[in-house]
Amino acid sequence: MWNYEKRLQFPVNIKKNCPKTATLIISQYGGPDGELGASMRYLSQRFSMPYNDVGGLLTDIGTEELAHLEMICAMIYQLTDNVTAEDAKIAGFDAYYIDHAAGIWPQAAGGVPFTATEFQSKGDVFADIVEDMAAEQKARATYENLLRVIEDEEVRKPLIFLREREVIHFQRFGEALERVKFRLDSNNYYFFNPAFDKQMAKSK
Amino acid sequence: MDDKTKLLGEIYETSFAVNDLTLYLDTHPEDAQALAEFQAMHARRKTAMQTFEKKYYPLTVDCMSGSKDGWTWGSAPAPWQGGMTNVEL
Repeated sequence: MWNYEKRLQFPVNIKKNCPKTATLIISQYGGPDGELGASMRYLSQRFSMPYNDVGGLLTDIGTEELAHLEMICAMIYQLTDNVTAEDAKIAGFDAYYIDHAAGIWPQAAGGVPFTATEFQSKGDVFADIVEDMAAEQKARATYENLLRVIEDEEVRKPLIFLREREVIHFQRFGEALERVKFRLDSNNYYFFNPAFDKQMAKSK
Repeated sequence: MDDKTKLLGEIYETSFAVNDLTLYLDTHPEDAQALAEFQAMHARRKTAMQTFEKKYYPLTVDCMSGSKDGWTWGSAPAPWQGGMTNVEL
């Protein structure tokens, strides 16, 4: 289960409003490669993971992603908390404002609402871990896209932190993959799905 | 730098070390050096959290001690607003 700590994982202190920046960053909340998708992906996949250490890793990284989506939302909040109707019209924030005002709702920068179709929980050990590695790379690339176009240092600092965490998570999932392979027959890793063909799995 | 900011800095740094080492130890459970580092950071974090609660307010429900009056959990500011965030890492 989850407890809550009343603090962000990394400080967010943005003094200047910019609704345009908020409309870009929101992709890391509800976009296809964002933190909400990442957390739901890992927290869903962990149940069918037959190895306790990998399931534990999925829980721990999935929990950290919840802390990351909280940071993204804090950034959006601080970028829009004093925005007026006039600002909303000029900054290209107008379509979002019509449906949400200064409310925070998970969607991609282009307006596509968050959906479970943006992640998979395949119930196959290899498919799940390799999807997780791809997800971390996609998130890293998205942070790099944001960093190319955002200049405000106060916005860049938490984005740089979040990008570094994606790289670390990728590393951890790669190690999890090796730990899984070590337990299986190197002559044919796909001989059975240890998450499903339980009678064939020798050890947990 | 005032005392509150320094203490918050200690909490942010030790907590991050605990988070990062947790993930590392999940895939390297036999690494004794990492485990020692984890235990040291974990202890420092615990001390910092308890000190923060005594001086200011609890950051977790577990931190709430019985020595204060009132619902101190509610007195902590929302993390997404200012005040908690003037920490330079």
